[in-house]
Amino acid sequence: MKFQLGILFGLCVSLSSAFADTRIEGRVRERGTRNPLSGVNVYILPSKLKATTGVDGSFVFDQVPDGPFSFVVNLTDYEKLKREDSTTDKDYRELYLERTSYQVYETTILDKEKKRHNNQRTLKRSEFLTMPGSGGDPVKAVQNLPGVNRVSSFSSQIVIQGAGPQDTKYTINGHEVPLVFHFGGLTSVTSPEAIDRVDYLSAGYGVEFGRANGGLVGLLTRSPKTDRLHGLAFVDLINAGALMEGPIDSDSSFIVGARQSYIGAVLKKFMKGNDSFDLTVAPRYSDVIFGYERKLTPKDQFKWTSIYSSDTLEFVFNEPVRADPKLRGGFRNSTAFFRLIPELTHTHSNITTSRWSLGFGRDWFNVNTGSNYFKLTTYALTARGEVERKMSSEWVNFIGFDNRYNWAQAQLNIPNSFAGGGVFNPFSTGETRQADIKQKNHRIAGYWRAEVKPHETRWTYIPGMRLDYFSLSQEVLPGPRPAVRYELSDSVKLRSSGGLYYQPPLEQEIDATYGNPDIKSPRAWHFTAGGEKDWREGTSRGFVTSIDGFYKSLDRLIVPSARTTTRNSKIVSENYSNDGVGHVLGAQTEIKFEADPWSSSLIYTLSRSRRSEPGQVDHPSQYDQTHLLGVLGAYQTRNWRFSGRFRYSTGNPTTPITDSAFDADNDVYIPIRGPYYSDRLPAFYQLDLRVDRKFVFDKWILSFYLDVQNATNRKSKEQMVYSYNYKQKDYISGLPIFPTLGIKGEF
Amino acid sequence: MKNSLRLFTLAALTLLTSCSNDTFPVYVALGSLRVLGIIACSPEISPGGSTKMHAIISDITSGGTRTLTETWESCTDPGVSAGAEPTCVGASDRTVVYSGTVSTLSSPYYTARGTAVTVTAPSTILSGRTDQVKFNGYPFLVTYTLTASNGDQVRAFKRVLVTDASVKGTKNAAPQLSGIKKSGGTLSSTPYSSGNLNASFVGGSAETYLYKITDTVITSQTEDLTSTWFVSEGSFKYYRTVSDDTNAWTPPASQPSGRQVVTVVIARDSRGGEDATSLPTSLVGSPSVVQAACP
Repeated sequence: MKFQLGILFGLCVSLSSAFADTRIEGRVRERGTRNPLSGVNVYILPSKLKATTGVDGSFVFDQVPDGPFSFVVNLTDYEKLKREDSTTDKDYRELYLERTSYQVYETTILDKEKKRHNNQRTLKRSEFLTMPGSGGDPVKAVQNLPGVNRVSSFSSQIVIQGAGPQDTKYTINGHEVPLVFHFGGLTSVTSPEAIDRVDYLSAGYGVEFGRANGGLVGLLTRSPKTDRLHGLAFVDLINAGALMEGPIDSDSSFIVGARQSYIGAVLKKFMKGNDSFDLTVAPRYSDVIFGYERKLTPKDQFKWTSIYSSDTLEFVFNEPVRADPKLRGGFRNSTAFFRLIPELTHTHSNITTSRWSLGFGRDWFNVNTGSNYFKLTTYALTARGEVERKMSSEWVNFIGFDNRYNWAQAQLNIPNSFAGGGVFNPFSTGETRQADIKQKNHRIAGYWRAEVKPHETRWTYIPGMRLDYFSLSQEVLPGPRPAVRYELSDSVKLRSSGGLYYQPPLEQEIDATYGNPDIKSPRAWHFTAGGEKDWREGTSRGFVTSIDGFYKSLDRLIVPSARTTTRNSKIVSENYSNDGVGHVLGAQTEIKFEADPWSSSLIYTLSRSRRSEPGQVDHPSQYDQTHLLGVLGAYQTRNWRFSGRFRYSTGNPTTPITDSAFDADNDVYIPIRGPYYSDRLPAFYQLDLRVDRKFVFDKWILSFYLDVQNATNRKSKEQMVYSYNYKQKDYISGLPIFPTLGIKGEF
Repeated sequence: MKNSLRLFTLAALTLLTSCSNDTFPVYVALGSLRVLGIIACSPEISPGGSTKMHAIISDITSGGTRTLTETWESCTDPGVSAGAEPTCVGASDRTVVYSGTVSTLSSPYYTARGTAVTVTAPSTILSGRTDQVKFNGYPFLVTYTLTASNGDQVRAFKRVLVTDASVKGTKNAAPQLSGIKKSGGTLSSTPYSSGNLNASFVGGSAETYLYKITDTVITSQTEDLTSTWFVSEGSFKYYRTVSDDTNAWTPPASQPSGRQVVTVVIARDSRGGEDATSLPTSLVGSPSVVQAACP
C-alpha cells in the first residue's frame, strides 16, 4: 500500500511538473509616448488565455503553461501586436503598441462648452504644430483662419477683418501681453509645445474681452502631464529649445520650457562687409515658460504660469543713414517682458463655479539711435474674475470683471513722425520731442452674460453687457453685445451676434503735451450672421462648411492732425483728432474636407474696408484686401505627413507719391502724397510645403520636419521703395524660398 | 510708443534694404537740377525780424541750355512736422518774396549761389503760443521753387525759427566752414589722388544752447554738426560726416573735360543753421564771403 501511494505521489509530482503554471505580469503601453493603455485585451496563444489591462495598462496571467507562447493584442487605431515569448524568460513584460498614425497623437479635445463666442475659432496644438508655412508657431497659424488679413512677408501681425494691427489684442491665459512675437513676427514669444490651443475672436466677440475693435488672439497654456516625467528638445535653423514636464506628487505637476535663438549669427555673416553699418549684437531672442498645477482641494484647482521673453538687436551706423540723417551712431533695441499668472478655479457647488486670475508683470521697451531714444518701463497688473452659475437647466449666468492697471514711465527724445497714407516722412523732418513722463492708466471693466436655451426650442439666446472705464480719457462706456444661436437640425447651426466695442487711445495720443488730452476712445459697431453645416452625418469622412457675413461701422477713429487748437488760452498743436470714420463689410467661408488619410480646407474671405478722414476722400483702409484665399491640404501615413498651403490675396493698397520737397534744414526730401491708398501692390500668392517624419521607438520619438516657405521662390511685391527725391520707385520683394529644417526628440 | 516702433521699423528696414537698389540715382552725385541747401544768415530771429537767405543750386548736366526761375515764398508753418504739406499756398499770411530768373549759374560748373532774398517774420507769429514754444521757437516757413524752362522742377523749403527775445537771449548762429582739408592742408580744388578729406569749421561753430522740455524744465544741449559731400565725378566713402571726421575720396578715372571735379560741402547744425563751401572754392562763395554778406 505504501508502495502504491508512493507511485501515486510520484505521478502527481511529475504531472504537476509537466503542466506547471507560470504567473506572467506586464503592462501595455503606447509605443513612443509610453502612455499606458487601459481596457485592452491581451491574449496568450496557443493557450487562448485572455487578460484585460487596468487603468495603468497592467495585466496579469496567473497560469501560463510553461514553454513558448505568443502575445497577441489587437486594438483599434494600433498596429496588431504578435510577439513570440517563452515562460523561461523573465516574468514581467512591457508590451508596446504602435499607433497606426503618430501625426495626431497629441490631439486635444475641446469640448463645446469652451467655445463661448459665436465667432471663436480654435486651433489645437496638433493643428498648429504641423501647419505648413507657420513653422509650428501657434500665432502664425492663425493667419490660416478666415477673415485674417495679410500684412507682409516681414510681419506676422494679425489683422482681423479689415481692421489695423493695433486693433488686435493678444492675451496669454486671458491676460494681455505687450507682444506675442519676437522681432515683429519671427516666432511667437513662448514654446509652441507649451500651448494647448490658440483662440481667435473676430467681429462680434463676447463681453468677456474688450478694448480691441478688431478682435483678439489668445494663447492658452496647457496642463502639465501627470503620468510620468516627459521631455523634449528641438533644434532648427533659427533656434533651439527644450521642455520638461511631469508630476511633482499625486496632486501637482509642472512644466518648464525655454528657447534661445541663434538666427543673429546667420544674419551677422550675411551682413559682413557692409560699409553702412556693423552688427555689434546680432538679433537674438530667448523665452522661458514655467507652469505649475495643483489640486488644492476637491473643489479648488490652482494653476501658475510664468512667462519671460527678451529680444535684443544692436548695430552701429558708420555714417548717418543716407535716407534719414537723424538716424546715426549706434542703434540698439531691446524688448523684454515677464508675466506671473496665478489662476484659481473653485467649484462652489454643482451649479456654481468661479474662476479668478491675476497677471502681474513688467515690460521693458528700449530703442535708441544716436541721440534719439525711447525708453518705456511699465508695471502691469491685470485681474480677471468670473462666476458661472446655472440658474436652471435652461439658463446659465456669467458675471465677471476684466481689469488692467498700468504704471508706466516713458523717457523719450525722438522726432514725431508722420506716416499719412502709410508713407513715412523721414524722421529727420519731425520735431524732436523730449519728455520724462510718469503715467497711471487704469482700465476697468465688468460684464454680465447669460446663455438661455429654453426647452423645446432650437434657440439659444445670449444677452451680454460690458461696462468699461478708461481712466486716461475719463470715459465710462457701456457695450451691449447680444448673440443668438439656432439649431436648424443636428447638422446645421445658425448664429448671429453684434454689439458695441471701444478701444482706448494710446498713451501718447492722449498725452497733454504730445497728444490731445481731449481725445476719446474709437468706437466700433459689429454685426455678424452665419452658419455651419456638418455634412459628415456622424462619420469621420466628409465636409464641414461654414459661412459668415460681417459688418463693422467705425467712428471716432484717431487720426494725426496738423491743425492748431486753443487750450488753456494758448495756441497749441492739436496733434490728434477723433475725426476718422470707416466701415468694413465682408463675408468669409471655410470648407473642410476629411477622409483619412487626406484632409484639406479652403478658406475664402471677400471684404471691403474703407476709411475717411479730414483732407482725404473716402479711401480703402491700409489692409483692405478684397480677396483672401487659402487652400490647405495634408496627406498622412503612419509616420509621414505631407502638407501644403497656397495663399492668394489682393495686393495691399498704397498711397502714390506725386512730388517731393527738399527739406533744407534736415537734408532730406519729404514725399508729397496723392490720394491716400488709391494704388495697390500687385496681388500676393505663395505656396508653402511641409514634410513631417516621425521615427517611433519604444520609449521615445524622433521627429524631423522640413518647412519650405515660398516653395516656388516667387518674388512677391511687398513694399514700395523710392529714390532720394521720390522720382523713381521700385518694389521690395518678400522673403525668397525659405526652408527650415528641424529635429525634435521627445520622451 | 508708435513713434518708437516706427524708429525701430525704419532702422530694421534700413538693415534689410541697405544693399538694394543700385539703379536709383545717388543722392550726393551732382549733375541734374538740384537744390543743395538753403542758407539763412540768421537761422533764428525774433517776431518781426528779418534774415537774408540764398539757395545753393546746381545744374551741371544741362550745360546752361535751359533757363532757371527761382520763386521764394514765406508763411507761418502750417505744421509740416505734423504732416502738413510744406507749401504756403492757401496760407493767410502767404508772401511771395521773390520770383525771377537765375543769373548766377555759369559755365563750366553751373553750380552757384542763387539770388539772395530777405524774408521777414510776422510780428504776431508767437502771439498766444505757450512759453515752451516762445522759448524753443515756432517755425516760419520759407519755400523755394527752382523751375527749369523744360518743366523740370525742384521744390525746397526751410524753417526760420522765431523765438521771443524777452525769454531767450542768445539766438542760434549758423555754423561756419573754413574750408575743405586734406592732410591738414586747405584745398582749393578737388584733388586727383585718393585720400582722406575733412570739412573744417571755424571754432565755436558747434554751439551749446538751452532747450525747454516743458514750460518749466530747461536742458542744455550741444549742436551736432553734419557735413554732406556732393561731388560731380569720383566718389566719397560716406554721404555725410559728423563734425570734422574724415571722408575717403576716390577720384574719377579721368578728369572731366573742360573743368575740374566739383565738390560742394553743406554743413548743418541740426537747428536750421547751414553753411556751404566748395572746390573750386569760388563756386558757392568762400565761407567768409557768404558770412560777410549777412547783416
